[in-house]
Amino acid sequence: MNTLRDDLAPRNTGWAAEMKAGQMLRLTAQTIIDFVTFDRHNHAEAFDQAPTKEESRCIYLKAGHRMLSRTGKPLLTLTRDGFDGLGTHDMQFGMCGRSRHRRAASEGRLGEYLHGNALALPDHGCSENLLWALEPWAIPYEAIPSPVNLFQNMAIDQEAGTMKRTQIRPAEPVPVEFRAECDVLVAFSACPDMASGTGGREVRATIFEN
Amino acid sequence: MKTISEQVIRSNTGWMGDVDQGQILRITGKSVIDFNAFKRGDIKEFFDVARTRIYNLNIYPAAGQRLFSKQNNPMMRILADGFAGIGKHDLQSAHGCAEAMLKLLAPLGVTEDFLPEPMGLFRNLDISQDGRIRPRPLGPPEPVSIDLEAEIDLVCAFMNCPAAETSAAGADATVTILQP
Repeated sequence: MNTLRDDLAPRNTGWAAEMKAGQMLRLTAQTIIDFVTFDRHNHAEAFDQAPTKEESRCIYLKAGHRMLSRTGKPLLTLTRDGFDGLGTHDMQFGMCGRSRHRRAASEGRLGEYLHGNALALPDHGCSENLLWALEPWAIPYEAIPSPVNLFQNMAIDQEAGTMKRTQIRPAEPVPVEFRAECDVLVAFSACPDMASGTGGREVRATIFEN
Repeated sequence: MKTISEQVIRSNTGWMGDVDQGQILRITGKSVIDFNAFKRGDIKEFFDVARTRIYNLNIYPAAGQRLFSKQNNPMMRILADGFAGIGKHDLQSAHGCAEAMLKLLAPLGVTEDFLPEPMGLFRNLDISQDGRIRPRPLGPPEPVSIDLEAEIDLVCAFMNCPAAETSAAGADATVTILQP
């Protein structure tokens, strides 16, 4: 294994990097990561939750599933899932951030999203972290797709459709690994994870070749 | 309520039009209809399925919920839903007829790389507790309506999908704009 890059992204910061086809990305964490990817040579080919779910016929991202672009191009494959058996990775939510927190606070609904009603809110979240991390590639907010929310385990009642946050997280940091199916740009936000009692933690990002 | 306009939309054709703040868009149909909405004058602010699911904390659209934009602002309110109790509308799938939708939206300046995911009216999916998705064709026996109230000035559009996995594929749809 040849390590090409090994970074630590502190809580509530963003990270982005380019990868070549065949290279691997390992994210090691124990709290929520908002994760997106783009075709490196055409950023309009951005990850899209809907075709991804249509191909896998599953609302969760699981090992063996591919992350597809909006036109159905394979961008990444989840090859290893250290969260399997404990929880599921979410593809229902968008991103937290200023606008989300402010709206929930103004409607008195913070407790439905976070682990309490009277929390000190960060002045930014995943929306801002991803926007800032992707600035060098000049990707505007409206072109950042809704992410895969790694380690965001939701309790979903499939009949009623209702979703509730859970505090199910790995006790220790665990890895998830992706293989690049083409040259890609990958980016994530180490979510402040205000839904978990512990709050967000740092994320280790490793790009390597086998 | 005053009817501003009413139009029959054949299978494999679509509709795009203005809906003013306070007006109600009524879509009546029985086969799959892919729906998008944009803030009038700024297509960068578009109806976003993920923001909508988060706001409502629900994976299915239903009466009483609101449709939200990518920028997290309210766009529409679901006032009534005649499909309730028969099946569920869909917020998971990609466009069933993306090319036709793009042609429809071309005058707005929407291009392939900027086509937001749709709300799939009358696209009933079975989602099992372990997350598996299975289409379950389930058109209503007779056309039913969903009423969407515009909370801001909008451009709305939908495609009446021809090849949907529903038993009622190919049915006409009717679009009505009402002024309360």
